[in-house]
Amino acid sequence: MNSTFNSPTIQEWLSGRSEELLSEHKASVFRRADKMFAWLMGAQWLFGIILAVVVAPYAWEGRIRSLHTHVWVAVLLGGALSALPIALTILRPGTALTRHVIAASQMLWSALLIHLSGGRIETHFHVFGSLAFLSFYRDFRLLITATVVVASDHLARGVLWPESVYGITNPEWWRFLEHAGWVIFENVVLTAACVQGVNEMKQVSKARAESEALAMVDREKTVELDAALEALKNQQEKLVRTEKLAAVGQLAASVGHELRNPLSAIRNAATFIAKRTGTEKAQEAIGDARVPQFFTVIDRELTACSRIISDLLDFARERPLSLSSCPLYSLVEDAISVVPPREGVTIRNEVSEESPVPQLDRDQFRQILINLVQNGSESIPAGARGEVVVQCEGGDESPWRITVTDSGSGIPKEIVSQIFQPLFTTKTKGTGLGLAIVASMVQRHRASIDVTSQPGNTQFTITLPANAAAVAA
Amino acid sequence: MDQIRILVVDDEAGLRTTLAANLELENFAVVEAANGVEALDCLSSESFSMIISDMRMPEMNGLDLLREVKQRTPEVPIVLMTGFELEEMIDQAVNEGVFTILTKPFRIEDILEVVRRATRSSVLVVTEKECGSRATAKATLDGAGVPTQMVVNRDEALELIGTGGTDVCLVELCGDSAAREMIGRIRERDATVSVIAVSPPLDSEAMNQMVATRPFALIEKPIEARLLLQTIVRARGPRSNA
Amino acid sequence: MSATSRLRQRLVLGVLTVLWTGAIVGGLAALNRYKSTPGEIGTLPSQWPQSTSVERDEKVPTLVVFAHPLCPCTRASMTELGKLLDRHSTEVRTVIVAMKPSEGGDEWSRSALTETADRLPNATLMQDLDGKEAERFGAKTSGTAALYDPAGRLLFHGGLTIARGHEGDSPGVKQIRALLKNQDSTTRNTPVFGCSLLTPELAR
Repeated sequence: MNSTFNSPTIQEWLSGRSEELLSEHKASVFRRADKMFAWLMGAQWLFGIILAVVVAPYAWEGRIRSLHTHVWVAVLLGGALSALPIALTILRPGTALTRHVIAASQMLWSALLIHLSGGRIETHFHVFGSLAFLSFYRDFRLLITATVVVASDHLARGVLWPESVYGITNPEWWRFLEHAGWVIFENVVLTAACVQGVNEMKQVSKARAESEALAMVDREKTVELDAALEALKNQQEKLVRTEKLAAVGQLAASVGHELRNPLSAIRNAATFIAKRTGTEKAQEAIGDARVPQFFTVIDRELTACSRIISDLLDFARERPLSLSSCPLYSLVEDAISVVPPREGVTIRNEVSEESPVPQLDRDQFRQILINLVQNGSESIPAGARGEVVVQCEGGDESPWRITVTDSGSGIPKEIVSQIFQPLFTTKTKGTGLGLAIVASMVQRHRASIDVTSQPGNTQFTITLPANAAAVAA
Repeated sequence: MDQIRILVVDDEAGLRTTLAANLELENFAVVEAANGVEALDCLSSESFSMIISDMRMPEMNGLDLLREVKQRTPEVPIVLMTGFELEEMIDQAVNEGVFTILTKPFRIEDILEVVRRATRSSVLVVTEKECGSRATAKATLDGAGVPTQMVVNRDEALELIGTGGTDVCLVELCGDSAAREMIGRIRERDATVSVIAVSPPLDSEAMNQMVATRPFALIEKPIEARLLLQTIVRARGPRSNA
Repeated sequence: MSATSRLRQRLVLGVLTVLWTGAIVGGLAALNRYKSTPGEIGTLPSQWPQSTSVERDEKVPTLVVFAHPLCPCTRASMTELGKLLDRHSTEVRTVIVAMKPSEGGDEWSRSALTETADRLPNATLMQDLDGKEAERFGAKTSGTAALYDPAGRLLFHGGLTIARGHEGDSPGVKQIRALLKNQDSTTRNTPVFGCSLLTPELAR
């Protein structure tokens, strides 16, 4: 498992987190033990009072009895001895002050209980029992405090009232060591237990930190995986859409292609018949003015068919660029000449004849201009007056900016982002491919196109990399 | 004037007959052939001013026919009609000297325009004395089988243009800026002639001056053969295609 | 909780802890002193008093122990006495003189102490009405023990415990043991820890 955590940052985090967890664990151990001792202190006080009352309730002077000192001692000194520890467990649970006070107090309770029980040997066991209880904290330093308290008490009494400790006025020098020896014996064992306990806690904390890290890594991985899956799904969908579109495009292209011959023949035939029936003699014979009119209709509709097929084929086919120097003024003139005129719509070529000459695929760029200009022209409402203007700036040092601006009704904000999508159209007629073709051709020139639109002013801007850069490329 | 004879080759009867009929209305003499083999037969027994052929035909397609014609009667211009052909086929046709390419469906006016050009088809190449052996345009065109005439003298060039036998004029420049006004003069002489300027790379001022003379196209040296041929083919096609 | 009030709380706790330590230490010191304060030892006659009704043994030494039956501290004395007699009952004759006031009830004659005393080997329990015998022997504090040899000479008098109500090896018991073995020892008297046998107004 450790091989997952090779990076130093993770190691750092792990050691920090396991320290955190260890502190938390220790703190909860301390608080638990504090609570236990609070109850114990209370119980000891009660026990002390009962002991005093049972063992030595009264002191006698002949016939006169008074409440035995032991009872007072049990209530007052015992109460005081328990009071601060209990107060600290309420006010400051888990702190070092609390548990060291408890340790001292507990050992003094041993002393007190021994006194109250009249020096009973069995009561001495309380000392060793207390030391063991203190190890519940798993903090070996408490044993030091306890031992110091016991030793001080011993020492003080040994110096001042030796009989009370050892039973004789002049104890042998080694008696102290005998007592100390027992205490040291227990302390050693308990310290080992405490240290081991803490080590186990450390192990547990480390393991918990590691499992947290694993869970985190896992979660991150899951999130990453989810994101990747999401992205993959999107890509797949896009791919399917693109493929569908391509398939449809191919189908349309092949249909369009097949249609070219029949349309050619129809056109040729219609032209012939129109000419033949267009002579004065023939018109007299027919006597219906609609005949020549309808030939115009045929011609117009055939042109429309032709355009639709061109659109489909342009869209389906990716023609590689064949670049040549294309003076913009004449290219724009060319394009404008192909766009069918509409009443009230003026198309102006404001490209300067002196503007720098870009390297373009002439056919494709002409198609771009035709589509944009026609689009602009058609956006002017029927019957209204309007204009479409083609301008150009830049070229030598800065990129070219070729703009086609129309004074038409504008493109609503919601659909502006969609107009370059294939098959998107707001017109009732048309393939919806015109702008998509423009976009893809522009892209092939490594240029970009964008549009801004308000009612009365719509502007398409094509940005071509500057000559200097292009030549260098 | 002799009636202009046109050979129309197309395996699809509808297209062929209607096209032929329209051409006849314009007083051209039209012969129809249903396939390449028939066409070559006709060619061997009669002479034609030009050939109009479909690209896609069984047994012998338009490209093969082009090659055959270039071998037998290279001075006869061939126009190929195409629906939607592979780029390579069109490129090859251009490289092998097709007069021009027409995209179906085309208007009859377009084909008539092309026919008028084809009847006086030759490329006039005007170079400058300074170019000398560096004049490469003619070499390129010869290699492709495009009939060309080359002159060095400007006045001679203008005369030839005046006779009306040229539809495309290539002006090859090698540095003299005064030669640029040549283009303007040619256009004055005959506005229907397409002028293609071929020159070494120019700075922007010179470029602007060049552009102001309104050439059909501007090609920078070193000449890319394909580009040159394509430009000529385009110049010869209907203006709505150009 | 703001930093200053937290600091104040810490200060208060610190001061309280110090005060508490002082109180505890003081309390324990006082307790120890109380425990180590002996009662009046009283002067016992060096010769067996004639007027006493306590019977003296002719062959072995007699140990007379004066006890207040209700004194809790004396229980420890009894325990020590028991330990002593466990080993040396045949070498000594023990009489426990238990005081009883004339108006005292049953609890005086039948206390835990008297029952313990009863069970001691080679020992007799004697009721001492109004502490007359104690008076004759000059014993003032419960737990006073006096050892007389068969001839009636006072060998030792003092307490059997080291502190008030505290069991454990005491110099008094040690000395009695030594005397019973006819080994001389230097100490003659030990302090007696116990309740006063005398009612205050009867105190001399």
